[in-house]
Amino acid sequence: MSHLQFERWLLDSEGLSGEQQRALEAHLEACPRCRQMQAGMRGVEALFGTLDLPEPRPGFARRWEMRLDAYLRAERDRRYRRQVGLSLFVLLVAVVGLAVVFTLQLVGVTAAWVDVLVGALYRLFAVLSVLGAWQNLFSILWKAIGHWIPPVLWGSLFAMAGALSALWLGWLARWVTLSRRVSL
Amino acid sequence: MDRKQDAREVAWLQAARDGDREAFSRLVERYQRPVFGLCYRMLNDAQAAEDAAQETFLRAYRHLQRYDMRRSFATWLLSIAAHHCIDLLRRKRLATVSLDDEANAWRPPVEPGLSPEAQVIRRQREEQLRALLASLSPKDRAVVVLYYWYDCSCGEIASTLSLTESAVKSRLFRARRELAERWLAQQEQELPQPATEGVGCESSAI
Ligand SMILES: [Zn+2]
Repeated sequence: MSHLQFERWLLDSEGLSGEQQRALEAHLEACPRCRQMQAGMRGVEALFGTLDLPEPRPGFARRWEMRLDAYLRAERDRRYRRQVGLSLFVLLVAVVGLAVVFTLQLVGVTAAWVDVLVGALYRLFAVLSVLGAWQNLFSILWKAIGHWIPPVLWGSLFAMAGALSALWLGWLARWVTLSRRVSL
Repeated sequence: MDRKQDAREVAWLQAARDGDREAFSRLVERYQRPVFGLCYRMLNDAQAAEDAAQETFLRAYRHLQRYDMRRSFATWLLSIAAHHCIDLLRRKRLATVSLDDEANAWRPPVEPGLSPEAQVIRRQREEQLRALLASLSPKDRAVVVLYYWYDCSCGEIASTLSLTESAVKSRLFRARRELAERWLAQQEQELPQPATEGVGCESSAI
């Protein structure tokens, strides 16, 4: 029989039959490794047997009640905060809704809600499709131009565009300050 | 440990389910020792064990409606405690307790009747046990603790730890081999030898 089988018998939690017990004892006589394992297991179990479970510090139940109190308090606070948050959200939705209705009435839009929504979506799609077309056009141009313009020329083109933008921004700033002075 | 529920305990459980905190406190008083003991053997630290035991009772209180009254309340509590400790160990929060922490941590009091020499021996044995259990994975450690200190059968351990019975048996086998090898290594390092009178463990949790 294999050495592993005897090790299993030594360490298994189940009881052995008389025949197995005799075979194990015969093997232990001859096998120092298994004898050592048996000594180790006996040592471990003897150690476990001498050490009882430790007791908690006195007053455990009282400390538990304090902990429960703290937990229940925190839970109450959490619930309260959740309710306040929910109320604020409902209030916000109501205010925004009223503001929209009021604005629509003020502007004189009497069309149905669905019409307004459909119109807005239609315009959004129109804008998006125009943007898409522009993007296509630019990508074709980019590919065509990219091949026969040298990198140096690209650099100077960008520098010129940058300078023009700076000039334009400067002019805009001056115009804004001038118009403010005039209005004062 | 005694897993039978007497009429008084059933009444406390029923009352606690109906919201009676006082009744649940009776249950805490009754089961504080086995729950704390399991947490202590799992975490090897008195303060961490106190926290884990408190948390176990809090979880039990919160989920009392889910408790199946046909099952043993003790087993249910130990299951919560074991899973909580396994989670803690896996998150490595307590994987390495520094020596300073160990020195400052509150330790369970030694029996007042013990002589100073006996107290030293007991402390050395606790240290030896601590080193042995630390070599096991969290789940194997729970299996070993429930088997040796709570006299649980493999079937009971399986239901406590949500494992199959054969998984418990193979974990127990592996853990015992590891423990035996560690113990032999400890002896080679000439650590103080434990008394070897009597083999086995009949200590009961309650
Ligand atoms: Zn052998």
